[in-house]
Amino acid sequence: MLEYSPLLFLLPLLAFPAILFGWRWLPSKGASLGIAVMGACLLWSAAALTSAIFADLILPYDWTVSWFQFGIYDVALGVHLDGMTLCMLFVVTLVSFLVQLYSLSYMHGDPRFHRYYAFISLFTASMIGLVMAENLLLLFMCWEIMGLCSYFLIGFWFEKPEAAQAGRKAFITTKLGDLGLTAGLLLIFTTAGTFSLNSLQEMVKLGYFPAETAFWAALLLFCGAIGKSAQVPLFIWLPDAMEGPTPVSALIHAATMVAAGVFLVARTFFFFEVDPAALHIIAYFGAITAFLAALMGTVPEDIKRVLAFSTISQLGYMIAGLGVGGPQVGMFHLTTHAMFKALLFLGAGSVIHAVHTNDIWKMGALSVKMPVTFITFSIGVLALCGIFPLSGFYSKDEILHAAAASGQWPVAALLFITAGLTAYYMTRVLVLVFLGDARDRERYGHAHESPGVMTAPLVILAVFSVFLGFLLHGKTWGGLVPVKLEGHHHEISVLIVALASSAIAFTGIFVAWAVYRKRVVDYEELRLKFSPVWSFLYQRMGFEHFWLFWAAASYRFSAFLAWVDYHILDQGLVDGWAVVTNLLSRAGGWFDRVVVDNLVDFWGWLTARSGQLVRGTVSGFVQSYLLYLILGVGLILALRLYF
Amino acid sequence: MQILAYFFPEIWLATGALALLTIDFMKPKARRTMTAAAYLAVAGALICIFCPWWEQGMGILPFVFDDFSLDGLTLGFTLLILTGTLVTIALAQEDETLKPNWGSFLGLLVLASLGCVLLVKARDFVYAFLAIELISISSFILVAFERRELAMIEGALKYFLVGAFSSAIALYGISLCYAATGTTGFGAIAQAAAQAGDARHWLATTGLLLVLVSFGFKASIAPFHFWVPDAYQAAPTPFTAYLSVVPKLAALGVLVALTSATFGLGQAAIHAAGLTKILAVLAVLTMTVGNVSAIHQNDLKRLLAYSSIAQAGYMMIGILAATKLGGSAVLLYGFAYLLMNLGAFACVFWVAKQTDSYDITACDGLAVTHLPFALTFTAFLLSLAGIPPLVGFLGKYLVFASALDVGWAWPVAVAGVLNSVISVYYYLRIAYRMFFVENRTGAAIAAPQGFSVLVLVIVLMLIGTISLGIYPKPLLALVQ
Amino acid sequence: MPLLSLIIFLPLAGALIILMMDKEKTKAIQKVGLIFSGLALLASLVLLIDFDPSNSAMQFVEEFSWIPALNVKYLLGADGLSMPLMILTTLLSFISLIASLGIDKRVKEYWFWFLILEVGMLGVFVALDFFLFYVFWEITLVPMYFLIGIWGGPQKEYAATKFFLYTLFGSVFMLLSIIALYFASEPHTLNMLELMAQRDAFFAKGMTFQMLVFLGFYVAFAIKIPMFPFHTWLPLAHVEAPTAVSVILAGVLLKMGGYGILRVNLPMFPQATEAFLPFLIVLAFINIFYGSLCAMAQKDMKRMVAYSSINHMGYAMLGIASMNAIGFNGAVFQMINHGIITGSLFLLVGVIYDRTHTRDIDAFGGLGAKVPLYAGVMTLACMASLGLPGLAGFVSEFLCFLGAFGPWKLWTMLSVSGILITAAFFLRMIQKVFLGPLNEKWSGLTDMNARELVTTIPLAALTVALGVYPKWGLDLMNQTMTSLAQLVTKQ
Repeated sequence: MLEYSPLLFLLPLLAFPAILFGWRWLPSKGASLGIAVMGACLLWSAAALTSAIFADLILPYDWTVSWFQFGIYDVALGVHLDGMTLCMLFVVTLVSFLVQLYSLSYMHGDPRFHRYYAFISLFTASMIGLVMAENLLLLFMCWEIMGLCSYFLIGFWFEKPEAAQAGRKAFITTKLGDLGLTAGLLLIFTTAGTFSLNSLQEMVKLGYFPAETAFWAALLLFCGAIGKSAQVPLFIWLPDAMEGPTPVSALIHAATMVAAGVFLVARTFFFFEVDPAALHIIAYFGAITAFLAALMGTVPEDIKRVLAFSTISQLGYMIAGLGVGGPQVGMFHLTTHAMFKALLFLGAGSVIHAVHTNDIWKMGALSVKMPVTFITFSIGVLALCGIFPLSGFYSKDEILHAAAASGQWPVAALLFITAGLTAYYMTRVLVLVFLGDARDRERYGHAHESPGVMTAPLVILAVFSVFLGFLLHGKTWGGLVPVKLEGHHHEISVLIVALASSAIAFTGIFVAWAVYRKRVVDYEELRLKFSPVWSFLYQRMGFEHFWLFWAAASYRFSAFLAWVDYHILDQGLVDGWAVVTNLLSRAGGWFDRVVVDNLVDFWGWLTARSGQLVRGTVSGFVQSYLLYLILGVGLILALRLYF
Repeated sequence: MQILAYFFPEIWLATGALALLTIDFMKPKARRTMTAAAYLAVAGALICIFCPWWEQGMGILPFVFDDFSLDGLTLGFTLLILTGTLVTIALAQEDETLKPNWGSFLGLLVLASLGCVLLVKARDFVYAFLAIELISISSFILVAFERRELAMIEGALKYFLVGAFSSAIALYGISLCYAATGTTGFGAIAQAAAQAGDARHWLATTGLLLVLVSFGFKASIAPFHFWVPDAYQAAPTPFTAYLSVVPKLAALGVLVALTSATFGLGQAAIHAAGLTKILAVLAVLTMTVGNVSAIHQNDLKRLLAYSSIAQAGYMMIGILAATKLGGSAVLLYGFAYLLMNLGAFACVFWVAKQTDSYDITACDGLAVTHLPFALTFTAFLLSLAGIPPLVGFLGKYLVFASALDVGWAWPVAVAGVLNSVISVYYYLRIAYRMFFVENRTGAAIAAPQGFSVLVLVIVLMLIGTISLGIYPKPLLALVQ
Repeated sequence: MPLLSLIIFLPLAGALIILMMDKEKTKAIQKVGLIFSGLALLASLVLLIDFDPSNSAMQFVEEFSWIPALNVKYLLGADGLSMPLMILTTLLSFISLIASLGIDKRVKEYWFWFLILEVGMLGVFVALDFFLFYVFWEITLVPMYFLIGIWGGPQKEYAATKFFLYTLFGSVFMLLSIIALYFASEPHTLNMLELMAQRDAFFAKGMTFQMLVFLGFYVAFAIKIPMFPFHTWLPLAHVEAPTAVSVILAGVLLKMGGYGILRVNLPMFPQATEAFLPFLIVLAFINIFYGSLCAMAQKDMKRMVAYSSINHMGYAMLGIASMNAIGFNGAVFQMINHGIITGSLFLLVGVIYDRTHTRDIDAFGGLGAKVPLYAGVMTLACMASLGLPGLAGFVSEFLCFLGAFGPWKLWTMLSVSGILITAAFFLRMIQKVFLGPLNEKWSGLTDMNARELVTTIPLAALTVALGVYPKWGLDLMNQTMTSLAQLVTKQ
């Protein structure tokens, strides 16, 4: 069945133009096509994953076809399937399918409904392509097309200036990271002469690829991940990306876009392995991102923004997990996180759909009105907090354990603290949205549970959020993941880590519960007391300003260059010559008029006075010409002497 | 008798001129007869050029005496001169102001051409001087021919006085040469000039330089060009066209003869005489002065006057190269120049006849009303600017090639190409007025006329400019 | 059958017929123009079918003696370098002529000049004799002058004159270099292929000679490309030119420069190329960086696209400076893609200008919902221009980088930043024009009409096709570029 795998990419890809141009002739404006295609893909990947786990499938599977040639090089289109890929495919298709289902209701009545479905299809197709790609060039192309889709989908309601701005920000910011990725691709190809990941892996393994180059290649590839997976300092686009429709946020934050960066590192892990320094670097990047984002997640009043920061924080976990524990660890968390983050976003969407606001302070007590949403959302929160036995517990624990075992104490410490912070801010959201008093009675009054097409995905995702960790835990994904990081420095008991992380998580939950539910302190007062800290966090720790400053500076620089271009280069240097020639010409005319005429007048005056020659200006003119003639002869004779 | 055959053209011309003046004296109203006689004289001379060939075939060339020579170059320049004269007569037919003294105009014109033909044939300074004087005296009168305004007489007077002065200089130069060598033949003097080191050499080269000035005056080479704009503006337009082409080419022709390798001296000798570098400076000066001065001219005749100065500068490049290639380059450029410059003057004449104005604004909006004419005029201008595939480009190409062939002269070629860029600016100014500017004055330009000699001239020149640009094989065969 | 001559002179025949026609019969004039330009397009497609891409030598060679006295031949031929550019020329000319159907001022002259322009452009790409090459090269100037000067914008005369003088300034140096090569060869010849075979003789004449001649050619080509600092004629000419002329200007005329460098400078003067290579790479970087930054500051859409051309041709120059087959492939492919993409961008800017009579980016807003079709096509073109994978621009830009990265790591890395800046200004334009709330001033705006779709959709389709399957373009040139790379590296 694996030979049909290219269809997995092609079907949603073709669904894009089909929906975009043919929506008039499709049932439910093309949504049906998108959902059907994704459903088929989901079925295929579920079947493939199942048969892979039960080991009647030979992996890895490779299939290539020539794409184009330049010089002596040949670039092939190819598919590479292994355990990690299949798992990832399952996650992508599942989340995409559920999101599309959910959107049927959520996006109902939107004037650009068909375009939404078209781009979701393309978005998913590019993620699938990225996951399956056997070669870096194809991977990169899908990577970029995904960026384009995120641009369109985040800015989907482009009449809102914020949405348009957010789309552009996402595109440009990730593009900044892609510069590094591009350079990495160039470096890799220049060194190895191929884009094929299999060949590259082989070369690195056999040592044909210089270790130092591999190190730099790894770092450059990681630049791409920094942008796409919203690591410090390029995370600033992600909180704004929630300007898009909420299901899109779910898709971006769970299965596509941000997952792509993590996946890229996992996929090209053989470069990172070569030099432990590369792994340390990404581990630190991840830990710092996780920590800072968690801090920033404690303050926003926008429910989606909190979730966005939590995504950044969890992405930090994954990256750190890759750095300390290898692809298996990082990808495990990616998988479980996809489930509960999609769940949380869709749940948040359900809430927003009901109360028509994103502000958590205008919600409250919604558990009564929206029981299904409440329960599933709570499951998501608990999973995210890493509470046993939900899936988040298992995956987060593996990362923490690997961090502790790796001997990178700062990384481990930051991740542990982050676990507590995560529990804190998620509980805060849960409490403020669903429990306590309804702070905005009017909105509360209108609130109602969402229709089944929206809650069904919530339930499905909740089920996965509960059981996935348990299922995949300890099985090293059925032995599917090819790379496992060796060389732990310290033997740390799994149990100790589990206990410690649970304790920290419960502490976080407890504090939030105490502050927001039991009101042991007045949080308004607390906020005022720590107002500088609060606003520092609220303003995203200055990262936003940092980049805005550079954007503004580069714009000013460009204006300056344009000024130079026009005034100095064009009007000055180029037209300057024309002006000089013109001046020469005018000077010639002036010379004729003023000097010659005056000379003439003088000569005429002289001649008239002396009476030696014919009178009048007419002859005067001629005499001046004769004068020039003599001067000319003199000039020539002078030249004659000179040469 | 054999030898006399080589002078049939001159005899024809002289006879024709005398006949014309006689008819003018006897029957001043017989204009048709006079026109016919003039055509007959010039066309007859044109045919006579080929007489020796018919008798004895091509093998007779070159035919060299001490004081005259008939080689390919001479032949080519003679052809140019006579063709130019023919075209001038045709143009003059369209000029009503010339009618009262039609016979004397034609007579003097033919006389001037006779001088030109003699000049290019001359290989001796005395003959050359005589020829120049013949040209000058006829021209002085012809410039002043249209005595309508004081300015015209003024221009003629300037031309005369400056010309006379330059003749005096030439005479002095010839005497210096004679003092140095005891002869006035080109060859001997050039040989003396080539032998560096002794007093005779110095005398001879100085003398040569002074003669050069005199030729330079006729060829309007800077800094002896000051008379050009005034005289051109003063003269009746057909004669301006003549002046800008025929005597100039004749003077350039004799300069080629003087410097060319066909003389048996070659590059090294001329170079030793120190002449080439001076010629180079003069060429650059001529081009630059002509082009730069033309930029701000608003009078079409003055503009073309300055342009003709610049064109002489380009031809100077071929002369200073002093190689066989340089000689044929000048001759070819001469052909191209004849076609395009006479064409341009004919166009200006046409515009002036329609609008009674020589101002550049007279061309406004011509492309809308007279598209074929505007395109034609533009073709002449672009050819003057040296844009391919027109014939002017071929001339420029050969001229620059001759400079690069010589090697050391490449800076002159660079100056030449830069100048051609400048020149495009003012040539395009006319195209600009025709194509881009709407005719604001509202002065209705007459509807396109039917057949006239003027139109015929323009069409012929256009055909020449384009077809010889695209298919220059016959022209090149002739030149070589 | 002399196909190449046929292609070149079909438009000339059309121009001459138009010249004979009554200027009042505009419909008939347009019909004749379209027929002859369309025939040229068809003939070039026939040529494409006959073309053997696996052969790097000259094909369809036509040779006649033209001016024997000067050793000038009428010599035509096409290889993998000329072939794609030729197709591009016939295609863009045809499309531009369709786009010109809206021009109703002095129709006869317009179509006449346009067809003459096509003759010149086609000739440049297939002429193998330097004299002939130069003739065609200059033929393009005159029609362009009139096309900009008569049908252009408010500053048209200035723009036209500047264009003419600037490009002429460059080409006269080329003329001198051509003549110098003629005399340096033994026997004297103007045949490009023979000169290439004799290149050792140029080296023997000394490095100074070679460098001077190289520079003579380079200045001419650099002005056309346009390379910094010779680029300042371009924004002006583009802004003032009518839409269809801008398309040709950006789509084809700029390519003549890149073509010249690949055809003449590199293979004929390997030593001089090597000496100048550091400058070439730095200039390519400046083109990319500077061009894109200047584009970012522009308020006029057309000016912005014009500066983006400088940026894009910088990529091509980067590929050329790589001196390897990858970069050469990238450079030629980039020229083709730039022709297609920027051509459609200019057409699209023209669409909105025709309706609103403004090109000020700030004057719009929220048009995306009002004219969705236009917004879609425009966005596609912008995305292609900023090098989005899956669209034509990406592959070629990437190949240029890829080629240049080997020898020039630092400069290539720096040049990669151009991608970001390009993205920034295109997205800025899209945002200001299409996104945000609708500017009520344009509430009566209508979407694209049939004629506009006919001109832009084929280009958009080509953009996608070449982006998804670049083999169609790359296979044409690969063999020639590979052998060219061998030629330039073999000292």
